[in-house]
Amino acid sequence: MTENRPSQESAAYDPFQLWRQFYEANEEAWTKAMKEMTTTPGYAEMQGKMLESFLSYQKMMRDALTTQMNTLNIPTRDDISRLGELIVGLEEKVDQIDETLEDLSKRLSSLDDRVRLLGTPPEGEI
Amino acid sequence: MAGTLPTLVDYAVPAMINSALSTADRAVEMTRVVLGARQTPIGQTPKELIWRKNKSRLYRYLRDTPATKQTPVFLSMPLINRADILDLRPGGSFVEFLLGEGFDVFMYDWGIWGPEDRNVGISELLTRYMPRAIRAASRAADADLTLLGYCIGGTLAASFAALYPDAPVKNLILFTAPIDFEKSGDFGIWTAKGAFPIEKIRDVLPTVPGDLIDIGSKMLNPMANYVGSYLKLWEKLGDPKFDVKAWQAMNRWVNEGTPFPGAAYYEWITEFYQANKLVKGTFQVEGRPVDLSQIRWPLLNVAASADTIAPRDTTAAILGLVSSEDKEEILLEGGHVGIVVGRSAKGNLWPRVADWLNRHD
Repeated sequence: MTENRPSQESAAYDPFQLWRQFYEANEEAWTKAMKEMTTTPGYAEMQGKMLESFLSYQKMMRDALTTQMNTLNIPTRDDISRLGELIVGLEEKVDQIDETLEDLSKRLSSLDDRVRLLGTPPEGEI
Repeated sequence: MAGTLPTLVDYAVPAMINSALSTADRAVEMTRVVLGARQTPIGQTPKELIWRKNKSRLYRYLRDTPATKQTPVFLSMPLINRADILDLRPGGSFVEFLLGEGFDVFMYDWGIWGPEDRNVGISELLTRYMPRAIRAASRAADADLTLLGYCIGGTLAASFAALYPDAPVKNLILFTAPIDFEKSGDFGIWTAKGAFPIEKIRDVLPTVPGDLIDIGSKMLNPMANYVGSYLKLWEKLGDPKFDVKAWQAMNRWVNEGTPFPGAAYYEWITEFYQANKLVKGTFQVEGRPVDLSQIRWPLLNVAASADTIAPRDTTAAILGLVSSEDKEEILLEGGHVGIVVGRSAKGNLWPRVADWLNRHD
């Protein structure tokens, strides 16, 4: 059976162990260097530009696909999303009705209590 | 040959073969563990669905015996990750711990937003989702709640507390919740006006994919997140004390970010990160200012000393802004996630929170 953990003697020949030692010796310096690089406004701007390019590409692809789907009379994701929005809107209306009913029910029960109090004959009358 | 001294080759060759075999075995095992992480079950504590709206779900965790504590705990979870972080796996679940301590526990999971939710903004979450979920939980438990928010869920919880001081809530707990965004560290630099293409994001993406947000979070400490985590796994594989399932569960949670609704993300960046309106008192929800000084409930703020996602300064700001007379902070050594899950959380944060909850029951 092969050992899961390399023995002391075999560790010397394990390329991963060598790499790990190299990594451990340098990790702190790399982390520090990365931190210094990534926390500058220049890096933020570059990252923003990259993201913008990616988004422009995405938009171009999406627009091209939407045009094709429209030509073929196939519903697009936007069409289905619109349907979803309508359903969520309906759910909101149901929630509002539910809330109104709950408030009404509370008011009715408090009114009921008050009516019951009014109808209770004063002590000693019975 | 008897009597002949062994040469270097006699030692070195078998050792190299063994080493190569061991390395290959380990590589296969590591691949199995990493690929299997996506199938690792998380969020396993039994629960029932008690209310839902759109994709969001309010769950109540099932108890074998009635709760012994009077104040149920309502967990308000982040928008950018699965809600399961506080119920990662049996033996490593804050929810399970709270149930064991005798609390009734509710979790509000925002769910997985879709493109149809592109117009769902933070205002909507604060006026149409959270108040109803909290009311549903309070009604189900027939009691006022302790509102506990983690990360963005904490920012939302604090905003909710400011907007609805009469809500059926009696205590507020925030776990690493960003409040003062002027002190938000690297994220603040990256999302700065002019550098971050937020308008373009709003135009193009109906929901901001979890993967995109995840890259940002990982870039806060790329060496540890992209290399260190896997290096640790490589080293620990085969160690009987190493809990592979726990590593897989955490890896799954970290890598399964959830999409952020477009409008909410736009507000999160422009109103919170760029304009810091929550602290300035200028953040408005349907024309009502979110004034943190309206918070009078007892407050427990939990901060992490090495938090890069919500640095301590950004979370600690809440203490100076609320009107609560009873307020306390727990500062723990560790990172944004490490302090709430894992071995150290179990022995440190969880019992301290339970102690606070018991004192405020």
